[in-house]
Amino acid sequence: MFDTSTAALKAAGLTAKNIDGIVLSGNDQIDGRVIGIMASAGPTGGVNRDTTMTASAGDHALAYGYLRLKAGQGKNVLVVGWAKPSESKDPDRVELMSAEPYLLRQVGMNQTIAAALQSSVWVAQGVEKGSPDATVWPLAKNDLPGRGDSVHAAVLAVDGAFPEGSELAWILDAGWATVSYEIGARDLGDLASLRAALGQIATRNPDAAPEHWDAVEIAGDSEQAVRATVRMLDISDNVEVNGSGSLSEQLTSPHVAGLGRMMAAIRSVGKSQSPNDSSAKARMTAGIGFNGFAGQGASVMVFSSSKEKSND
Amino acid sequence: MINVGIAGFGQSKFVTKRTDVTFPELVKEGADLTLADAGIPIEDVDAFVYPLAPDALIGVSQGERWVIDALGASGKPFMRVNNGGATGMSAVLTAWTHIASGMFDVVLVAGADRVSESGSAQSVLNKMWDTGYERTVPLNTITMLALSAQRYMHLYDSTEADMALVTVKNRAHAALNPNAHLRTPITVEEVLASRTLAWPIKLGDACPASTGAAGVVLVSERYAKAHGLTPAWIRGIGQNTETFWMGNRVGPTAASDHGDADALAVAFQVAYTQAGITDPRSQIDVAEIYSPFSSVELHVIEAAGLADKGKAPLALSQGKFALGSDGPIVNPSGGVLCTNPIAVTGTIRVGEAANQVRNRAGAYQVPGARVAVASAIGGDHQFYSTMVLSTDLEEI
Repeated sequence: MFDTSTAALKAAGLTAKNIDGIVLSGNDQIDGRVIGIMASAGPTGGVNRDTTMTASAGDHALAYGYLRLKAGQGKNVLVVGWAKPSESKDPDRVELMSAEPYLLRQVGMNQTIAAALQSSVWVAQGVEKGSPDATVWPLAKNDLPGRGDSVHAAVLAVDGAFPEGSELAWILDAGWATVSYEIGARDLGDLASLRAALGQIATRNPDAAPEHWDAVEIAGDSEQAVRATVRMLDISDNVEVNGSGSLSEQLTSPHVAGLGRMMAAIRSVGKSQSPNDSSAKARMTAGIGFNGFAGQGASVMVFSSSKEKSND
Repeated sequence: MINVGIAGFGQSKFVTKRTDVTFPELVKEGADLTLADAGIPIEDVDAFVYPLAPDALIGVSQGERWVIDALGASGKPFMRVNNGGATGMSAVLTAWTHIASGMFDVVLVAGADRVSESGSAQSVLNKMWDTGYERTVPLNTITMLALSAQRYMHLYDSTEADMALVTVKNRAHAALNPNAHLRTPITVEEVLASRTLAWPIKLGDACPASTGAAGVVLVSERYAKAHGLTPAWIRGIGQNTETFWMGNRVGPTAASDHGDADALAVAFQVAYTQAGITDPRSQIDVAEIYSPFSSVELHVIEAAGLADKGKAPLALSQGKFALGSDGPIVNPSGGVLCTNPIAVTGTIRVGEAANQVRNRAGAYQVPGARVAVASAIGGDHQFYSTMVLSTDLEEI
């Protein structure tokens, strides 16, 4: 965390002393600590600073960092999300503990099983097929996200607080929503949380709607979920989807997978842009994260290469 | 700048154990009480910030996902904050940010805790320290703050009787608060005679492990005016962070002194500057400050600028800070020492402070209260949140 945070600050021409606030996100059970922020605040430069942990999802930390700047809480904010499942004896067992104790825990629910249940809906609808070598039917190993340690850090700053042109991307908007916990009562194929998050952006900022995106990075619980997301977005074949790599290629942990994809979307903004070509079309990208069993929660953040395309 | 106010505060009656409700049902109780107090329908809530500190205490990892339906949050923006014991107030600050951003008008912060459900809360809380260093000491919140209390006694020549005065005051206040967990008045002699947990902290110096629910609902000035609401206005907010390592708070190379709360003083000063408070002792009417042990209240009073360093015991012995005395009244609700449902303890501090400046505190109302300050502490006395509230938006 120290290495990644320091690298992000250095890339922004800053040190921890110049940061107005820090937003962190981790999963205490994966960390093996009861209050994970206690150990993580220091390595990210949080001592003698305003530090908050949004524990619900890594992508919520990025959204909250954005809110902080819109609210005038300083000129910049460091956002850091992490997961170190390698320290945990059995991450699947940890995920089981996020199932309520009356029913889902008895069933043995975890992120992978929930993803399989969700995918089975699409199989039943005839839009997906079960894999003949399924690890957990209908999903094969390559359909599932790779698991591994990961840390992501980004510095967000308001316009004028950094040299013009040094930015990686401008934030256009953010939407996030969570729906019912009761997976037995939900249409798991509907991606209702994503629909709600997208609706927020569409209402506030139609210019940031999916039809304007050039690329999207999606942290689905399965490749089937990624494809279902693409179907919902109704985007053209020209839009680059998960250009940073497939789910199985990127080692991550459910808590920070969405944040990781948002970082990839930020990096993707600069892709194919010629710094000397002022006539180049502004490039707009989006990151999508899910949290909870079978996409109970979803976040969307939209980024652009053009300040004029920003609503700030 | 967008002005933000607290339009409603709800809390259940706090007890050791509730077996009549599940955890989500308890959370719903907090949400319902809060919205009813404000007169705001759930449909008007734009976003939710959910306070949940160590979810190990309720035995469900990422327990926030379990309560979405109970909160009425399905389909809406929702995020959870976990800053340890400061969580309940950090969540309110996060909600303030939501509204101040201009993207939301009504944000609900509501939650619950059932600290006794984990069996041994202190065993759980031991797991917040680093596996390779201080976990094995073994530290828990009692032993950690016993070390701080010892240091305060050493620095300022104070005594266990000074600590007992805090408990006596707060228990007398809690006796007037129908929702408080510990409501029986107590004497200095009884506190001193209670069994030692970790010297100098005795049972009488310690908070209970509480079960219950609470919440506050925040509104923009625009929403308040449109709906004829008279909220308590948030005039200043602050947060600051101390080092994690207890070993870095002692000895000749200490980054800070474990007997004081200097990082908290910084957080108070940030909020005071925003609110225009230059003399807290004359400008503040009420302080709802986070002190789970009697010893903590002494240096939090000082960090808040309500007494000089090391002088809080003298002021207490003169009857200061108690209902009916001159100057700021500290913890008229009885405070954390009498009620500590960890996840929402900070939320309650804000709610009680808001009720005071709205003249809605009932039997423990401070007459004429216009300006209040609230604070919370999380981690190993590491995360600090502060807030100044007032009846109106006039100059303080």
